Amino acid sequence: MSKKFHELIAEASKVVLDKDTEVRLAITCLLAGGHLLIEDMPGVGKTTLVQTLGKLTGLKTQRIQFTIDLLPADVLGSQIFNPQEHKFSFHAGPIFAQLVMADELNRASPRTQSALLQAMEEGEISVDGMTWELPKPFYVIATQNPHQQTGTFPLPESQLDRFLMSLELNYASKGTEVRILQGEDPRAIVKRMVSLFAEGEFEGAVKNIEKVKLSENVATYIANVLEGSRREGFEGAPLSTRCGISLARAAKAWAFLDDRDYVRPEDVQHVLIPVLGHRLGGNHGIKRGREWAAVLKKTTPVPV
Amino acid sequence: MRKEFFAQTYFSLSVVMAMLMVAVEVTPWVAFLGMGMLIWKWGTEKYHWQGLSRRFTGFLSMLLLGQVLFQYRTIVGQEPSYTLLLGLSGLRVMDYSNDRDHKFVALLAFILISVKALFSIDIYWILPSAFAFWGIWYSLIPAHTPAKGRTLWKIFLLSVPFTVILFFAFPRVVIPWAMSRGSTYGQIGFTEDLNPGRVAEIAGSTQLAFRAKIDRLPLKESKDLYWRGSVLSASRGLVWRAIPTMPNSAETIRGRSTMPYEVAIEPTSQNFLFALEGTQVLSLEAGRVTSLNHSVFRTNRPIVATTVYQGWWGMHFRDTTEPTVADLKTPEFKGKVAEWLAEASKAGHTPEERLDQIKKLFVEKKFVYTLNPGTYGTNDLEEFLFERRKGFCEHFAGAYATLARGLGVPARVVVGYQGGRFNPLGNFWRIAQRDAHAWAEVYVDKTWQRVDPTSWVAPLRLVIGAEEFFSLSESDQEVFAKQIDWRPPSQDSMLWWDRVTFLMEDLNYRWSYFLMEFDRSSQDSFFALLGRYKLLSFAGVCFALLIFFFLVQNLFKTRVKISEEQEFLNEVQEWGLQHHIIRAPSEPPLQYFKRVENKFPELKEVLGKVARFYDLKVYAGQPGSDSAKALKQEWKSSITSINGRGSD
Repeated sequence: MSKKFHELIAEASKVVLDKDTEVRLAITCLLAGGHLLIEDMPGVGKTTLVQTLGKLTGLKTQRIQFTIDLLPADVLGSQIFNPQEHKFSFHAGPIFAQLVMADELNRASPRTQSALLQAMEEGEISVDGMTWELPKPFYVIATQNPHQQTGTFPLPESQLDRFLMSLELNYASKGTEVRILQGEDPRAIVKRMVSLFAEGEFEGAVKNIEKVKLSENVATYIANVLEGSRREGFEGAPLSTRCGISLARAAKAWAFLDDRDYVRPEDVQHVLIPVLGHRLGGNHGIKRGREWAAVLKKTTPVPV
Repeated sequence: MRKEFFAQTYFSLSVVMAMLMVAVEVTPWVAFLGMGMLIWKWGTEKYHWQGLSRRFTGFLSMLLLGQVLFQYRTIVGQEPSYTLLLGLSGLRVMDYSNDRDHKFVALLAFILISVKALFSIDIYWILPSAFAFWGIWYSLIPAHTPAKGRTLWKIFLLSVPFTVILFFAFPRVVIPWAMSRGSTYGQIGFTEDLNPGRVAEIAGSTQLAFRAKIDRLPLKESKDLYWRGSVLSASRGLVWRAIPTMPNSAETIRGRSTMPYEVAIEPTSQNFLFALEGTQVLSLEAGRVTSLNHSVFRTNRPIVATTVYQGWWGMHFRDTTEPTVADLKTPEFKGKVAEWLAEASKAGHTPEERLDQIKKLFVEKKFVYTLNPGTYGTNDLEEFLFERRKGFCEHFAGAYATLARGLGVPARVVVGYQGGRFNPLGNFWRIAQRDAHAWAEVYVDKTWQRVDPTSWVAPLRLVIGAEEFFSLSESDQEVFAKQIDWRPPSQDSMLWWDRVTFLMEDLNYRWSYFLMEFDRSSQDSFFALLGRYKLLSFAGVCFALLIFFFLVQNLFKTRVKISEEQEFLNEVQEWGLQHHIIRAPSEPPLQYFKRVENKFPELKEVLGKVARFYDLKVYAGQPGSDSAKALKQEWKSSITSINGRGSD
């Protein structure tokens, strides 16, 4: 099963050059069934990454460009009166997709943001008192600009918690940039790509993640991490139990990508910073949060 | 986390406790310095006050040394060394930042406790010492040790038999450098002089002077107990001095008529040994007692620690030493004193009759017995006898003896203690500085006979003892002084508080007696007691020790059973430690194995197996395919070959 995923990683890395870890983490996040938040400066390849993933996984992809004047109805859809049938019918918005790319999420007004985030949490939306199920699986990959940029509305802490992971892409190295400049336009490559997965195959893999074994030893390690965040003197926000569950799930997905059916502390350490960064940072920003997560990673003892 | 906090708090409290115990022994300024440093350190930790740099504390240390040298002219001896130690401890606490400092502070605290224990064996110090000792040990055990408390208990219990054996094997010795105890120690300010007010000054203190067990003697009441310290023979009116005498050769008289009693004296840094009136011989450790004339005893070394000695009391023992010319020498009498002497010598022909005149003077005129007699001028005798008539025992004794000499009767003054307070629980007498006393002796009927003029002025003092007497208010003392029947109201029903005091005193006495008593001669007699069973008892002790170790080992077995995979990790870690590959607590074991493997490629195969074993067992929850025993063997042989190569 995971053979397909190795292929996925290899293919994606052809487009998103020199970002193997990030690509692998993004796929881990999807495998764990969680939403992904990518924060970075514009033009470092966020959109390309998402488009590549959408193409390769065969998930139905939609893109929503968030702007300050975007309204919730523009995301969710609206009731429109049909004169022939003399009744209202629902006109589905762009959110009705399996992989929704919310570009520059923090440019939208909080009202619009929360419409999306509610859908992420519940897997369904309600418009005018009617409820519509969203397609399964349902992923949101949101990108956002570092929030010190002008014209942004930072996401509240409670909503940050709905993303399983957050990633930074960072600028490519000089050598990589040379290769990008010389190479083919990534957009063209993406366009040519075909799905690696058959219908429903990806969803099945996500279900398999549950079967990965988490030993007491590793569970203790995760509990140690949570405990460490609650210690007096630690600067980051204290972590919740739900956060521990997310960490365990992400570690399982990572182990799965490693062809294992059990988790090692190493797996937890690999996903620790992406899973905890945005949660620890809170309103100090993801960057600080990632620093604090690194501290936790370094100070939490591994049970032996 | 809470454990860490506990250990830290406990450690700081222990250091404070150790410092406090020593602080009570030294001049206050260094105690204040130490405490100030502690508070400052606390402030820097808690409220981010400005800390002192190492350079500055170093400078302060030099200043401290200078001050100690200036104050004491030496750094040897108890008080200067205490002062230096305490000051240094305070300053080092200020520097405290890393593990090395921690160990240094712990060492200083240990020294403080041991030094305290060397000098003061009071049972009251056991509890705080134990508290501090425990806390420091606890902080020294590495944090990751499982069950720290149990480990500590184990160490403690294992040390007990060694302590006992050492105690019996090495008897107590007097430490030479403890000789100079400094000026404030040994407040028993006995000297060979009797200046007016001197005894009153001593009696102002409630400190313990010595304890005595005299239950084999027929003396049962406070008023019978006269503890002789020194005999003064040179009179200058009220002021008396001792005349230096050569010591008698030590003779041993332990006939049927003598009864033994025991005294445990507190350190005085002096040579006085107090003996009950009627004592013929005192025995300390062999060769250490000298007896002067007039049944007065001295040691040849100052008493610097609680010391036990025996006295031999004879019911019919009398001092019959012939008086010399010195025993009649008086200063020149003038004025009213000369007039009175002239009158009195006419009144009687026998010495007894003449002495009665002095008694009449003290009884008939209104003399006042008081702790605060005030100071007397040059014409002290006349002023005391005919004007102020206020004095303490020393005034009465001094005046009486001088007047007796003036009337032609050989007389002298004895200073020492009188009475004491009986502890019914421990069956011993507690004699405090309060009981300091002076009385006179006159040579009548060819023996020296005791005359205590205080008994005419304030008989109650002798009957109820100094402690009860001075607890009365000054006006009550005057009123009750002559009512011999008066008793303190709580005499009959012992209050619970008294009971507790008696009990604690008794406990302390037994404790210090037990520790003190075991000296060289006790050891000899102890071994003599074993006699020909020496070998047998040695074997018995060894056997008992073995059993004890076995018991302790089993009782305190660390309950955490180490699993095979943990054992592997420990083995590799231990080996890695030797080659400076150290695993941080946050490094996963498999990653660590890999790191070791990278540094020692020849271990790749075996480490791979170990890692697989660990991985499957711990994370996958499956038994590994390799046999743990064989793998261990493989690992052992691999590292032996590497070690062998390394040592070539």
